[in-house]
Amino acid sequence: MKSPEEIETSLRMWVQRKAPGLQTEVQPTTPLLASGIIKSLHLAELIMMLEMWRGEPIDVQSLIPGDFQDIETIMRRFFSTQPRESQ
Amino acid sequence: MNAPDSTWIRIGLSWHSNGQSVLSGPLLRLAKRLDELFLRLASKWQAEEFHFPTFVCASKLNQVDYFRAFPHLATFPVSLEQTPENIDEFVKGKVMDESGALLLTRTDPIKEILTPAACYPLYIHHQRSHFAAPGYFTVRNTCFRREMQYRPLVRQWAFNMREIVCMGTQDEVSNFLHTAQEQVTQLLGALKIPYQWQIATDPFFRPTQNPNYIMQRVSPVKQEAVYRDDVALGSVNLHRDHFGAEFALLRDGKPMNSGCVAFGLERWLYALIMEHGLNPEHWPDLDSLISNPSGHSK
Repeated sequence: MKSPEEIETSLRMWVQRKAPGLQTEVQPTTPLLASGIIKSLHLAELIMMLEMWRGEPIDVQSLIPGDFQDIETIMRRFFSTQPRESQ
Repeated sequence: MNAPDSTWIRIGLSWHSNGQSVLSGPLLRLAKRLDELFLRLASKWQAEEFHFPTFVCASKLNQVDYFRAFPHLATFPVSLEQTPENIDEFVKGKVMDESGALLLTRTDPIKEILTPAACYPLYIHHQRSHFAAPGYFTVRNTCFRREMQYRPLVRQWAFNMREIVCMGTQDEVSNFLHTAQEQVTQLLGALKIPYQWQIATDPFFRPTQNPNYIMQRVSPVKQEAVYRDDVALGSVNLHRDHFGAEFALLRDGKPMNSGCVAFGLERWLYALIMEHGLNPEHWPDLDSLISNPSGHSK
């Protein structure tokens, strides 16, 4: 199983591939949805990757606004051992 | 309310169990005033008014993937294949079975859909247009959405939707939606209708399998004014460049953003009656609101 650091690197590379025209390197806080780098057609692939890396499914109905905001948020939301803050 | 009782009938509501209502008398007058109020709101942006026909070209809606996203809601106009032999065959047959279902012979290919939302024809009408400034439009149409169950005024197969639409830059659309939401808030307050703004998603078929639904969950684009936790009276919707890109609605060579505020007329009637009662004398004075939309009704 990948370490969190390896997952973050893989995730960043995946995002970078989705934005070939991006002038700067994708950072942990680069907005993914608001910037239009990640579009709805990418989401199924993203969710499948996240499920594979964390070894368990993601319940789409449990997703909330901001979950895919940036890489830092994705890492905290899906790969943190800390309990999720109540919404 | 499952079926209107005699008091509702007296104020002008008749109900067809196939999800359609008939308005007359005081209720019809209220509906007309209500729509004038929405038009008055649209005039804030000097929105250009359009009236579109009922049918929308299916291939145009297919461009925005409508039939994969909302197949369960679609209603189609069907006609007999236009050959004398086929029509003869139909006429000479039984025509209808005992359940009331027509026994159609061959039908023409279905290339149209009955308008499922008032604003779709606007984007289609303006396709391949270059805008030099933001465009503001308003449109009302009878919309058709097939549902599993119907409720008078609340969930109908055929219902009236008034929309105000902005096509512009991201900032222009965002400002429009912000102002529109404020105006709807003010209007509901003036009409003394309790509500809450709630984040919502569109009614996708098998939503969890649809990437657009997932996108709406993680990056909301729709807020609904929900009456007593039950009925969405209206919504404020951001489309981003969804329609701008598909229909080539361009500004400075780039696809425009768009957004709309939508009102379900029958649902507003429902909330007004539920809050103010079945006696027309107790209904809010919409005429004074039409002349002064930010004012207070009696």
